[in-house]
Amino acid sequence: MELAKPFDLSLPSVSRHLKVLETTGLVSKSRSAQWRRCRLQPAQLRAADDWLAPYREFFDTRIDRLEEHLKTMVADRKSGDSPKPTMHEDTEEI
Amino acid sequence: MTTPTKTQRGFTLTRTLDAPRDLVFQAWTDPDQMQWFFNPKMTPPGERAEVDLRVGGAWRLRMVVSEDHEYITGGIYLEIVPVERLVFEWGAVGGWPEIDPARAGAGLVVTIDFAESGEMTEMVLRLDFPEGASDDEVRKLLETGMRHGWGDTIDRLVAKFAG
Repeated sequence: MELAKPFDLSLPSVSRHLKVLETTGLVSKSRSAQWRRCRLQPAQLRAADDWLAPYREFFDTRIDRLEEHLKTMVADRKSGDSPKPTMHEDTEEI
Repeated sequence: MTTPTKTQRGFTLTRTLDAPRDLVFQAWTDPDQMQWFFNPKMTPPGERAEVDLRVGGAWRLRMVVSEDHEYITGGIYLEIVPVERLVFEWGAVGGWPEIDPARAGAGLVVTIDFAESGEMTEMVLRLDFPEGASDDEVRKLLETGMRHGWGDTIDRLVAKFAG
């Protein structure tokens, strides 16, 4: 939760991205009482097996925003307007 | 020497989107509907993608990551089936991922299939390395990814943790 705060991303999105980082061993999770702590494992960076992670992460982030943008396109079509360009502010760059 | 490798050479992302597939296809191919691809915080208002929607044509856009880091990304279309399928070599000459103009088709290939699922669209995005790429070529491409994409993300994470 706290980890999600600095990013303009929904909590499920943050969880999904964290999962990718966890898979690559770049982040480890531990539990203490009600807290779930995420720890950055920079040593794993060089050893990371999943070299594809940056590419996957790139598209995963983009698709999160595509999902948001489609809501606008669908709403515009329903209201009979021609689709207009919009800007969303809900993601972090990689 | 080029030795084909059996190492992991791609991934697939599947997402069910709450929109008819012609809109999803439009979101990928109409420059007026591609703002979702940009970094919203850093991109100047009015910034637009360039799209030349034909096989051999390119789409490209400028990704601004921070005040002192930006890069060009996009793709060169390899296959276009309106509302159903889009295939492109991902990247740009001098961009990320790097496309070598002397070696067309040697880079990363992105295939996106759009399937109707009731009122929704199932979108499957696949990233592949070309069949004939050697381990060395794959490694070189991946290292480029590390430098441009991943490095910034890690820097920012480290800054957040340190702050």
